[in-house]
Amino acid sequence: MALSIEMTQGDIHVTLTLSGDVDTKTAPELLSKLTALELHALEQLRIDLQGVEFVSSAGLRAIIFAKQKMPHSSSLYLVGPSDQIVETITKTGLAQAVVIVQSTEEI
Amino acid sequence: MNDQGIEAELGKIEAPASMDCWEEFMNFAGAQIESNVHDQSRAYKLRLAFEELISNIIRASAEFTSSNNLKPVTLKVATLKKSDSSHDYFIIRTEDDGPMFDPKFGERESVDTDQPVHERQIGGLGLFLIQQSVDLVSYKWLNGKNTYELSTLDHPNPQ
Repeated sequence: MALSIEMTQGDIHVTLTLSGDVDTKTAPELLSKLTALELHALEQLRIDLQGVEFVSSAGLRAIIFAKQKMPHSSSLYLVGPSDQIVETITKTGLAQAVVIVQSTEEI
Repeated sequence: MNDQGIEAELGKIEAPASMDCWEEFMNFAGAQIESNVHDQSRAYKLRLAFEELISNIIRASAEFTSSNNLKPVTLKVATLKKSDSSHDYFIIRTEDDGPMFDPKFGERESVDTDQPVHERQIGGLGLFLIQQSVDLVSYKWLNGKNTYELSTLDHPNPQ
């Protein structure tokens, strides 16, 4: 399934709203969007996964890339991932580096 | 798994191991998993393992053929049902005629999931996820081909 990415800019945060699958074929699009952001100066990044059914290691690598480029004090929120995606994130140890919330109201 | 079990092929597909055929492989596996693995969590994990495996095979094949000016590697994917004395398995088997690559699944060190993300290498997650996502994973070099099997226990549909 194709991936679509919508970007919105808030006062202190950027939100990427994803829809589709983040796999080997589509993850480069996410990486490209992330690379275009001023990650080193970003206080908060929200990646909305409510419309995402599948994330492979290629997608996780893009998320790790973003977190590595962001300041230590910054926050990376994953919004609304499915149970299966949360399980993959937890299994790979990425859960320690991100904040998982079910909706933006929790932020 | 007991190699003496009864095995039946359900479907197969063969195409160049290239990103041009990515959808072909994923659509085939997706439809086969949907029809044959009724537990949603197991189906998702098998899809994940297959995606990681195919990604590795295509990447390795592309590196090999481009650096040696060779014809594309051929990748065959088959799905099977296998029953032994105690279990039924749904299996995805891949065969490719690319360079031998034994991932040594049984001997691999686990990813250090406690390592801070800022110290992480970008990579190494794919093979880890393959191992973690299926009940059995195997590799053999058979008839000059890399042969992988991803096996998941087949549970009847509770509905």
